[in-house]
Amino acid sequence: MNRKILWVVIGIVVILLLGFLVSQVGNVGIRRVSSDGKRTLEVSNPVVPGVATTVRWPVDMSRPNSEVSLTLKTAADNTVLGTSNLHTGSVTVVFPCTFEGTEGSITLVNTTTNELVSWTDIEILPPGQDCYLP
Amino acid sequence: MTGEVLLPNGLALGIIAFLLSLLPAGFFIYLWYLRNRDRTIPAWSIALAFVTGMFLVIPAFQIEDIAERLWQIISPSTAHFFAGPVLPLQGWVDVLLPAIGTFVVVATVEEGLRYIVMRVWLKYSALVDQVFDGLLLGLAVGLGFATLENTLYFLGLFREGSYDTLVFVFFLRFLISTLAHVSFAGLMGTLVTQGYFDFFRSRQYYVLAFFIPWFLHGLYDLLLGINFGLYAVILLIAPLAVFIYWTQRRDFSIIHRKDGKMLAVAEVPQTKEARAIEKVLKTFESPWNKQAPWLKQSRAYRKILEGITRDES
Repeated sequence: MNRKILWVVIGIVVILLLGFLVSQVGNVGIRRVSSDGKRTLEVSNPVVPGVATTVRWPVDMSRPNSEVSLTLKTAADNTVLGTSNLHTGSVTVVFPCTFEGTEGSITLVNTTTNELVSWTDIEILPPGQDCYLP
Repeated sequence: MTGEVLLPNGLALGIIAFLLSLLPAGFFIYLWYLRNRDRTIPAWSIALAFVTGMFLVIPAFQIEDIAERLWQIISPSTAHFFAGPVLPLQGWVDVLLPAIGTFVVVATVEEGLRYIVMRVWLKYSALVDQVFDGLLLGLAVGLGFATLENTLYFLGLFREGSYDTLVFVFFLRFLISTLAHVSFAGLMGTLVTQGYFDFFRSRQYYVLAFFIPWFLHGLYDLLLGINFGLYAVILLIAPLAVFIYWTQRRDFSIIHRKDGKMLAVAEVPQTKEARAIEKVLKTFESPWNKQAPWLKQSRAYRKILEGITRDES
């Protein structure tokens, strides 16, 4: 009986350790389909508020050209940073100086259909000098 | 023959991924089946269940693809929730919509296909005569499913070029995905078999056999999708503990069926040693056994009696 209890305890500890590793590593999706398939936005990470930053995405010419908007998504709200066209492949935006927090994500959304085209998560540094210059 | 034999890149990687995926499957099959001396079900049946589990991945993924395309047509603005929310979570919508994806589509499709296969198999297979057999078959089906799913996941990661965390994620996913499918499918196999052998509560068992794995699978996928990986793995502890406890239950070894026919009175299984002893005793106690000691005893007893009666007379 003692041996069984020991094995049960060891098993629970191993599983908890696995869970901890999963939460630290991330990206351990159980399903074949994961939101990472659309994680194609490229941006210099971490981003600096107040500084013009170019965000790029792969252009798929087979898709019809349409207006897209780049939105900053945080736990609190969504902020539209800028707009562009899908076939342009890039947009230059300035991250708001008033942003609170260090994490978020940027999403590229088709303004006509509201379809999510692409996204990526970002880290945001504290506001730089550009936020305080007159 | 000159020149090297070269495989296409994709095929070579696929073979490597498949062979690596077999490692956890082989380990669990050894743990719960191969190392037992008394195997209640033949190895070819377990192998067939494993292959069936692998082949279930194909229709499962096709149905999920169709569901995703349908969602895209119906609501393009929310279609991305099928694959999971865009983090960070903002409100209940970021949890509810992915939950629709995991519960209504993924869990229903995957557990539903396994349920149909197991219901048909466990009902018509003459080899399944104990609840423990259903547990083993469920385990094999779950392992087969997890093996091919892991292989496809590895290939997908490699194609995307995610090399930095490839090894770590790969091995983590091996263990977690395999444990998840083992516990869900094992519970399902056990409950379906119990439902088949219990005449009075069969419907209750059949309902539980679908809904418990369905709920656990949906919740587990959802927790992983919303980046609550630790809670998802903690959730696994309960079904895994129940599954391991059920592998030790002696009443699951009771024989309910013989030669494909249900027994009016369930039998206790015999060990190999008991069966061997029974075989020997059958020969020993046969009326044709001229060497039987009781024949000699009877002869000796008769001679002694004759001697006594002769002396008396």
